[in-house]
Formats: sequence, C-alpha cells, structure tokens
Amino acid sequence: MCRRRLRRLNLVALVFPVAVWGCAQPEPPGRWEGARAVLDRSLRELQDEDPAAARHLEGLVSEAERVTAAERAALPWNRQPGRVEAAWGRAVEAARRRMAELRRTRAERRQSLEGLLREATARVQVARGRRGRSGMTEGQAALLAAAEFRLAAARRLAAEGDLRTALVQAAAALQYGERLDAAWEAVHERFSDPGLLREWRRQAELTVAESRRRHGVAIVVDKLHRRLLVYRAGVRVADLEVELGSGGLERKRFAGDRATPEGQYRIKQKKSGGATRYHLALLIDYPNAQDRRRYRTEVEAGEVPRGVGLGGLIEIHGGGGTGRDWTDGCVALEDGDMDRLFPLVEVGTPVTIVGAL
Amino acid sequence: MSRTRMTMMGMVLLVVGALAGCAKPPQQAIDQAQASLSQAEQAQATDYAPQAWSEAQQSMNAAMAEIAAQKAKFAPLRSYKHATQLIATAQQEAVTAQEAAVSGKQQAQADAQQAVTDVQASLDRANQLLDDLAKCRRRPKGFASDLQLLRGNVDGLGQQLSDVQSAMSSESYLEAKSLATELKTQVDGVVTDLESAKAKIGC
Repeated sequence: MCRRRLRRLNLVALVFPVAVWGCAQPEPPGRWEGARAVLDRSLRELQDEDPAAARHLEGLVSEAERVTAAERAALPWNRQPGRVEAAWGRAVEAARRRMAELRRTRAERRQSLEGLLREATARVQVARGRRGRSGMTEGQAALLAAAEFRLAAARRLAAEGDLRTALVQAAAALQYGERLDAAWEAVHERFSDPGLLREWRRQAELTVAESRRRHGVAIVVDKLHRRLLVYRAGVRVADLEVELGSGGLERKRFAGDRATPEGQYRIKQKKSGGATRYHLALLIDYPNAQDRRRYRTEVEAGEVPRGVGLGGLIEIHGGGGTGRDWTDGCVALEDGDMDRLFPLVEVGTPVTIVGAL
Repeated sequence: MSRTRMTMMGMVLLVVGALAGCAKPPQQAIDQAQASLSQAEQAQATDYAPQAWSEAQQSMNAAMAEIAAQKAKFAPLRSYKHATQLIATAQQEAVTAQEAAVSGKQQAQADAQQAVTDVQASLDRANQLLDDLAKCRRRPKGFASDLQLLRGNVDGLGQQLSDVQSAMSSESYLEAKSLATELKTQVDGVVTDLESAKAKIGC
C-alpha cells in the first residue's frame, strides 16, 4: 500500500503546482498602456519646467512597472489584489497633480508676461512718438533700441515656449522703458520749475519792453511749445511754428550737444542767397557772456569735459516744416515763414530764447 | 534503509540542490547601468538629448520590472538571463544618451557661438556704415540728427551683446542662440536703413 500511495502522492505533488500555475490568470499585457502614454506625455512636459517633479514621477512609474511585473509572475496565493492598480493609480494621480500645478504656473507666467509686454510696449511707443517729434539724444536712442530688442526677444522666447526667460526679457524691456521715461522727465521737469518759469518770463518781458521802447522788432522763442513770437513796438505781430535741435529741449552746455541755447541774444548777421543752405538765415551772437561764465563754472565742476568748447553758429533759418527737431541747435522755420520774418529784422534785433512761457 | 526513505531523501536533496543553485539578480550590471544613467543625467541629457534619455529610462524600467518579476517567482524557476540582456540594453542606451548629450551640447555651443559671431559681424557692418555716412560730404536736412539716432541705436544694440555673452558663460547655449539670433535681426534692420540712407545720399 505504501508504495502505491507514495507514487500517487508524488504524482499529485508534481501535477498540482503545474495545474495551479497553468490556471493562473496573468494580467492582460496591454492593460496599462493608456496610463503609460499619459505618464510619458506628462514626463516630457515636466522635464523642462520642473525637473524635480519629473524625477519623482519617473520613480513612481518605475515602481508601478516593477509591481506590475512582480504581480504578473507571482504565484496566485502570493498575489495582492489591487496592488498593481494602486501603483499605477499613485503614478497617474501624481502626474495629474503636477500637470495641474504646471498649467497653473504657466497661466500665471503667461499673465505676468502679457502684463509686462503690454506696459513695456506702451512705454516704447510713447518714446517712439517723442523721438519722432522732438528727437532724442544718442543715449536715449540707445535705451530705445535696447528696449525694442528686449521686447522682440521676449516675444520670440514666448513663442518658443520658454516663458521663464521671456519674463526676464520682458522685465528688462520695461526697465529700459522706465529709464527712457526718467530721461524724458529729467529734461522736462525744469519746464515746470516755478523759479525758472519766472526768470524766463522776466527775460521775455524785458525783450518785449525793449521792442515797445524802441518801436522796433523783437523775437522771443518758446522752446517747449516750439513757437517763435515776433513783436513790433511791443505788440505781437506773428506766432510761428519752429523746429529745434535734436537735443533741443535740453539746456545747451557744450559744442555738439545739439541743444538749442537759452538766453538773451541779438542778430549778428543776416544771410541769404549762397551764404546759407537753409534759404535764409539770421546768425545770433551765441555764446554771450553769461554762456561763457556758465561754461567755465561747469568745466571747473567737472560737469562738462575740458576743451570741448561752447560751440557757435546758432541761427534762425529756413528749411523747417519736417515736423520734428532736427537741427544742430538752430531754430528752423518753414521757408515761407522765414520769407516773412527776414525783412522785419536787422542786425541788432533782440532774440530771447526761453525754455517756456 | 527502505526504498521509500531513500526516495524521500533523494527528493529532499534535489530540492536543496535546486534552491542552492538559484539564480541571483545581476547586481553588478544593475549598478553599472544606473551609474551610466546618472552620468547621462549629469551630461544634461535631459536638455540636449531628451529622446535618448527617455529611451534609456524606459529600458532601465523594463529591466528592473523583469528583475522584480523574476524575484516574485518560485526560486528554482528564476532566470535572470532576459533581465541581464535588458540591463545590457539599458546600459548601452544610457551611454548613447550621454554621448548624444555631450555632442548635443557641443553642437548647441557651436551654434550659439556662430550666432554671436554673426551678430558681431552685423554690428561691425553697422558701425562701418555709420563711419562712412559721417564722412559724407552731402548732408541733407536733418542728416546729423538722424545719424545721431542711428548711432545711438547701434550702440544700444551692441550693449545687449553682454547679455548674450552671459548666457554663453553660464552654458545656457539655447538661450544664447535665441538672443543672438534676435539681436542680429534688429541690427540687420539698422544696417538696411544705413545702406539705403547711404545709397539715397549718394555717399
């Protein structure tokens, strides 16, 4: 009996595991392909923008793969129901959370970028308008070019999907725009200075008073408003539009700064025909004694480089009508207006140029 | 000893022998493959060879999954032969990713450097044109003012090159190339204006 029983037991011992193994139901191989595809897409997106999150997710995917393979190979009585689902579930849930955070971050960045681009673009457009009308110094032109480049770079980077760097460029564009505004304000704030306004008006009144006293002609130029006012016997007889130097609104300090000088001058020479390339011209006696005193003071204070000089050859001439400040510091009128003015004045006619009235 | 007892002892010996001869996971190969992956990551494969990096990661995942599957089996039935092949593949792909990252980075650096060279050439051309125009005898109305503006533009754009150089120094070659390319576009715009001004004036 023993031998037969042992043979039967051996047979059962051999057949039973094989039968059980054969009965095991492995997981369908493609069951988790959908999750893999989702995770793969998430990893690619996270890689650039949040490498730490990508690492964490890679770890969860690896874990899910290991668990899936282990469960597939495990003996039926060793399997843990739900373990594979839990592992993939953890990975997919983490991906969902990270992608939601990424979308939020991107939306915030995009919003910030749009705000910065809008503001920087507005400042650049204002600066362009100012350049078109009143010209710009070389330094301001450099700032404007830098602002325009940064704006273009920000838009290019945003189009390439690099929102982080685009934000940096947009912020830089805005900074340049703010510097341009500050430069503009620095030039213009003196035109609302009460002390300066009082002085300019005083000078203009003195010039008009001289015109009244002598029954002669006098000229007053208002730089800010770009007007040339002609007085005869103290009465205003003409109000003409002018164009200044491209650094015109600044106070003239040295040769080559392209600013139109401010002060009390007189006509030194009348030019016509071949003597001027600007139709007709009235040379004034800039620099006067006050200009020279101021220049010496500023050179000694180191505010103006030594040896540069004050410049000269400041005229009221024709050739205007361009709609912008373009001269080297002179006051330009349209040829027709110059035709009206030229015969009214003579050598010695007072010309007072002020910042604003 | 009875035959039954001898049969039983034989079976026990067989089982013990089988267990003693169980395959073990190829730990050395695994460590080597992981080290190669780490090196690929340090070589910035994620930036410069993202596709190769992703493939190497996936191969490593497949290899580790196979090892886990084998570990879950009844000991005598384990075989790490397939896992060893997968690890070898993962190792190879990690090395490929590292090499691709190195060459990708070198290419990105070369591209960025070329872009910087191109923009410098455009700036040089712009400055040459400004010098030519400054020497022009014919000077139409507003010429000096316009020249001043253009010189300011060129100077302003030239100053932006320092930003590009910073990106190169910090090995952000993709950013450097993007900035240099945009800067060249801006400078070329000014060059075009200068060339047409020169032609118009007849310098």
